[in-house]
Amino acid sequence: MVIKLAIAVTLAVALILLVRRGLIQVDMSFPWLLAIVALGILSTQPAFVEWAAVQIDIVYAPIAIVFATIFILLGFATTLLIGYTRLRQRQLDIVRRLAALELERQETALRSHAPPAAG
Amino acid sequence: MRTLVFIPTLNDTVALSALCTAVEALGPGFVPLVIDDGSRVAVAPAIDRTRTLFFRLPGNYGLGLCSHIAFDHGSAHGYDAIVRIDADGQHPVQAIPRLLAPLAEGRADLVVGRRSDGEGLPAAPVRRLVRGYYSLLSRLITRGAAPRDVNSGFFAIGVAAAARLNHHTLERYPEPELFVAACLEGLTVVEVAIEQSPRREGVSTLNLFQALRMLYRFNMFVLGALLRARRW
Repeated sequence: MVIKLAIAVTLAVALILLVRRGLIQVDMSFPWLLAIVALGILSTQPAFVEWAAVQIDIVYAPIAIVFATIFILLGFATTLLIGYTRLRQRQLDIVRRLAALELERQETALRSHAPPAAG
Repeated sequence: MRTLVFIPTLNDTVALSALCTAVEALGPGFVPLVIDDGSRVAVAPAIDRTRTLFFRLPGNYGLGLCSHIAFDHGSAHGYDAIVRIDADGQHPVQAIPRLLAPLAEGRADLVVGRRSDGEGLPAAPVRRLVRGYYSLLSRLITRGAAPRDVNSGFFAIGVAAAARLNHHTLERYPEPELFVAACLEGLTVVEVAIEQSPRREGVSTLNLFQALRMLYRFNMFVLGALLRARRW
């Protein structure tokens, strides 16, 4: 149980570090943290683990391969998430710039029609 | 004081025209700026484009980006202050001069409209509990400098303070982070009591998942602030 919890805590800390370094956008990390907490708790329940294994026919299959696959996919997903976070930030910067240009045009038009402000 | 009053909206159109008119009626120095955060309904026809600044975002990006756009515009075009009010008609426009007074007198950099919760909603105890948690945490990390109502969406900010806070990345529902960041940056934040009206239309975009995500984000922000404080 200690090792299972240690893995969950390590994953959670790694996720928080990625968020703190700005590599993953904080909102994107929320479902991940929920999943880590939920799976971390469930993994400490042997009855649930056995039930889940039976449901998907993993009772004596090479579990190590399954876990290796999951970790490779986790790596891919993290890389994609970091890329998505960077793209999203660039998109937000472009939208801000676009808004600044459009509002500047409107501001000029507004000032040319408005009476001078008092004070 | 030349004041930019920005009104972010998501599908709220009923009160919008009256809000813009009420803002203009405050005086010639008050300019409304409506930012449509990707509404599914047409917002532009509800406002007079010849007297109101308007920008429609190409999708729903949240209040953080809306705030950045307003801060960018206010800083670049000679405004003295920026005020934010909600588009659903909950915030009293006539209270704006009271919010601006501490800024004009140089007593504050940011003035928050503290709501008296007269809504009488069934969820009020839960809401009070969550607000209490935000308030407690905010006041703890700012050593009592943060406002009590850190979730209020009705505030006025001096343009210099807005420019200073604009380098923080503001996300959806940015108010608690914004107010706490202002305190941590050494800006003076004060509160003015306001009477919040019941919502005139629509429903809050803050559902359970969003609320949990907001709580998570705020806790991450607090964690970051604590780590930075230890580094100092």
